[in-house]
Formats: sequence, C-alpha cells, structure tokens
Amino acid sequence: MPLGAPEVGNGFLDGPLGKGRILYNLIHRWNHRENASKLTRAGATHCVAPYEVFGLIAAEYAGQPVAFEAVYGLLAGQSNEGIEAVRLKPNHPMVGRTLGDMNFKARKLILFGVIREGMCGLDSPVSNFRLQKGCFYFNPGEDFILQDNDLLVLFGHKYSMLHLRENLEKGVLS
Amino acid sequence: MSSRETLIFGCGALGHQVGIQLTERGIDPYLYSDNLDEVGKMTAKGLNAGVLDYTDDDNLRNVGIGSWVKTIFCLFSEEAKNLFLTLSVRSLDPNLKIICVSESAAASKRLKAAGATKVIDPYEISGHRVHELIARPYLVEMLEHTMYGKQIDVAEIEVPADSGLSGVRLDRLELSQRYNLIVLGVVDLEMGNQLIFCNSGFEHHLDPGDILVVIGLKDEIIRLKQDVAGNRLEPEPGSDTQSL
Repeated sequence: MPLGAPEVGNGFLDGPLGKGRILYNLIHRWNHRENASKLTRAGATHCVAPYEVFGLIAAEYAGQPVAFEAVYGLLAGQSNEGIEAVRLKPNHPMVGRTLGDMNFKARKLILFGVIREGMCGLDSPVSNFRLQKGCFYFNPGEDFILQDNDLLVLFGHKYSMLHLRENLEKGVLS
Repeated sequence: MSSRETLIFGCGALGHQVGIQLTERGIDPYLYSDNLDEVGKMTAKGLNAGVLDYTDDDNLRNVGIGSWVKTIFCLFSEEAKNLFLTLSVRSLDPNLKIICVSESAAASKRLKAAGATKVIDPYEISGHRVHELIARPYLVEMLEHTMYGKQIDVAEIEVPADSGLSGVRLDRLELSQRYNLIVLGVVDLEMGNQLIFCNSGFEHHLDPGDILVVIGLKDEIIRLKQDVAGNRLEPEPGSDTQSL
C-alpha cells in the first residue's frame, strides 16, 4: 500500500511489488489526476485520491448540507444504519424468485440495487451501470428475478442486515 | 474583487479540486490567496483567482464577507492560516457557512471552536476508503461508478407549505414506483439533523419544512422536484390520505 506523499516514490515501489500482483492488493494515493493512469499502468490495483475526494465532499456539502450529512454518515459507517451487500449463494432457494418475494420493507431495509456478474443487459428496462467485473442494476423493480451470486446492496440498520444475512444463510426467509 | 457568493481561500491542490467540483455543479467560485505564484497557477488553469491579504478585515469586507458571501472554504495548507481566517470571518458574519480542511482530529476541534461550520479531514476520508477497498471492494467500485462518479445523485427536497405530501406517512411514500429513484428517508430539522429512515418502522408524518433525502438519476430527481414544487403529487386512487 504505497501511500506516501510524492507519487514518484509510490510509482517506483510498484516495480518490484507489481510482479507479485496475485499476492498484493496495491492501493495507491495520488494528488494529480494525470498520475492516476500512470500508477495503474505501474501495477496499482486501486488508486485513492484524498484531494479529489475532499473536493467532491466539500462541494456536495456546500450545495446540500442536509442530504450530505445524512448520506455521508451512512457511507462512512458513522451510525448504526449503513450500506451493506448481501450475496445470494448458488442454488439458494431465492434464486429464480423475484425481489418482491424478499419483502425488504417488512425487513426494514431499502434496496439500493443489485450487482450481478457478467455484462450489463443492453435491453434491460432497469437502469444499469457497467463495473469492472459485472453490472450494477439501480433500483430494480419487484419483478426483477434473482440469479446465483447476485449481490443485494441495501441500506438499513445493522441488525436488520444481520437478520437477513442469517436467514439467507439458513435458506429461510421468515 | 469578486461579487460571488462562494469564495475559496487557498490556491493549492485542494483549492483547485474544490474549484473544479463547484464549477461542475454550476457554482462559480472565486479563489483567493496571499501567494501570487499560486494565484497565477489557478488562473492558468481557467479558474478565477486573485491575491488578497486575508489578515485585514477591511479586505474581507470588500470581497463580500458580512454581506453577499454565503459560503467560504478555508483551504490553506497551514492550519494557523485557516484558524485565523475562520476567527476573522466568523466575527464578521455569524451566519456564514465556513468549510475548513483539517489534517488531524485535534486540528478539527480547534477549527470548530474557532467557528467553522464543517471540518473535513481528507486523510481520514482516504483512510476509510482504503479500509473499504480491502474489506468491501465490490461496494467501493459500485459507489465510485455511480454515486461518486455522479451517474447517480443524492438530493434534498424540502416539503413546501400546503404540499400534498403533508400528513403522508413516511413509510407509505411509494415514490420509487412512480420515479426511478429511492427515497432514503427524511430529516425533520425540528427533531435534529438525524436521518429518519423510510423503512425504520418509526411512524413519521411529513410536515412542511421536512427534507426528503433521495437517491436517483438526475432527470428523475429533477422531475420529482418539479412535481413537489408544483404540488402535483396526488394520492393514488383508492389509497388512504396517509399514503402516496
């Protein structure tokens, strides 16, 4: 994890470490956008940009302080409510059933979306966004059919999340 | 001198980033620094910037502190400068929104005590991001492609007086079926600034002044905002008045 201030030093570190990319998860820090692609080419798995993230957060706060405080608290894990992803194991009883069958409302959870392996469906009626290894379906409707390995991205209290996770593990939804 | 409502003090890398992000959101900031070289770099990058001696209160008044300026960012690389500036502008305007950079928890406390509205530590945020990249990489990637990548927006929508939303129970607000967005919850400022989750089980009836927090595609958020402003949200036929 080369997180030193000068990006030149961080890039230099990647040379020897990059050879072991299977073993290492190289996370870089950068402050100048033009250096991000260089660090990726040098072998970085992820790049973190403190100044860019600061700019994003500060600008968002200036425009919408109430929404910012609410959502940032969730994303930063500063409260009992947060965002979590729950995976549907292969051959789980819920596979082939719909999101409506999950009844998130009764579980005091809010579905943000589903991350699914593979390419995004071009003709999908659900808003979707391509990820490195899959596709994110935003706010899919109740008739969205669940598949093996789907990751359900949810907002809610940590205990509601735990309850759902345990029920999915047991293969029951009560 | 500028007549803008948003000013950035400090023309380093942070000032540059905040300037870019604000400009992308349609806010036109003016950057100030006591360093001529830094100001030159900002203007070369296309941002509006000028030299200012911020230690003189008259200079601060001349650029609108205490009158038309609503938000300032204190982004000097030295904490002492940010502290001095925060103390100065707070004494000139008790209602000014002051957003400061901090590099430690102790500095954050000092800046808050000096009058900052919000203190953000970029290294704390990055530390959290690095932890998340290790613990939940799929979630971070999704958020970076959607919410941080600005494909999905977060918005706050205030319930106006005489709105059809008034009296509706929060957990019966079924807007995500009419609009392609998610209503996360509501902030009732009379009860504090805590978010009341839609599905928390808490029985909250919407009042004028409540702030709905929604996540969704930009167009859908605009559509909802227009419908709320135009009071075009009516209960579904056959539903009770506590539902929408």
